[in-house]
Amino acid sequence: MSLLSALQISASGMAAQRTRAEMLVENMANADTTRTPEGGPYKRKDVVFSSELQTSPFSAVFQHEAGQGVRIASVAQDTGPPELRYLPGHPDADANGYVAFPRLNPAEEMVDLLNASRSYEGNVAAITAVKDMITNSVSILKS
Amino acid sequence: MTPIVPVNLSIPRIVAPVAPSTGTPGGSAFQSALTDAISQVETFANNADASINRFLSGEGEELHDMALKVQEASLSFDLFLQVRSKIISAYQSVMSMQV
Amino acid sequence: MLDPTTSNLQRYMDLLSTRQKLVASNIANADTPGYKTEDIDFQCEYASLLNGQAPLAYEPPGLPEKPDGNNVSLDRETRMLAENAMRFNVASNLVTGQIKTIRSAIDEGKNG
Repeated sequence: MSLLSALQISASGMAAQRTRAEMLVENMANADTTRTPEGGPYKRKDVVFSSELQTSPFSAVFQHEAGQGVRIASVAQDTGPPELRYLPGHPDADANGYVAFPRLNPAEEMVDLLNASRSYEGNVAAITAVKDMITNSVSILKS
Repeated sequence: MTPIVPVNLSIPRIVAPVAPSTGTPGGSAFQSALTDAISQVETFANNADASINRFLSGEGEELHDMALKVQEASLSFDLFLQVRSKIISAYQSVMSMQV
Repeated sequence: MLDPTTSNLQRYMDLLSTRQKLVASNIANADTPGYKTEDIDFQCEYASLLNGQAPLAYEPPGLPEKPDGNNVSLDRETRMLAENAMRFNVASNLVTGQIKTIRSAIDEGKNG
């Protein structure tokens, strides 16, 4: 049923955007982390979205209908060189007095987070609208 | 004296529309009316059942399509009940007529 | 039992459901690289009234593309969401009204 499977699609969107938001928050929280268990400064993480056919627990057949959900295909870690700042007194300074900082811009992460939030709200609005349509359908039975 | 010749008047007659009953007049016209009504109700009821089953098993039946078929079945059944009472009371009136 | 208008309304609601599902799909994939917005040609599908056949999805033209190939416009999708839901509401109310009318016509016969 189109409407019920639309709920599944929107739910997948919400889950994906939430994971994205969590990554962005982690990035922002670690904007100045110079020391990690793996060694070196924190490396920025990014999510890769990929569209995916949704299967509902209620469907008997694998429906090749139009419309696909989304999932996080992978989490990519930044592989670029760290940002070096000259701080000779810093405990993590190297021989030349440079400290390796994560290469990320908190302002960009914030803008990304706002976009993730907007997309998340879009999925919530979709669920609300579809839920209303389902309720309207049910009310036909009450006539 | 000339003989009286019968005049052939053809008066156009308004023929009443014939009721769609196939049997001989009397009890079986009532019977076939009831049978027709029953089979129609049955068709709608079967459609509704099939629709409900498709919806429940997740085979892609839309909720509103199922709701409409269920209501259609319900309406045809209500109509049948009314028609049945009318047919039965008409039958009883005919049967109770003094001959 | 129910008249042709009702079966038109039913088809209308079928198309709106499919369309809303595509809107949900577009919104869920608003940030998927390379994803193209999907829609159905509503006028064409409704006019042809093909019973039981799933409508065909197509990519609406004229949507600006982001650098990663995604062309979903959240504004467009939000607008579609509201419009589809509203039209569906109208159709289901009309259908419900028709059923009520028929039912009261039948019930009036009870006393007639």
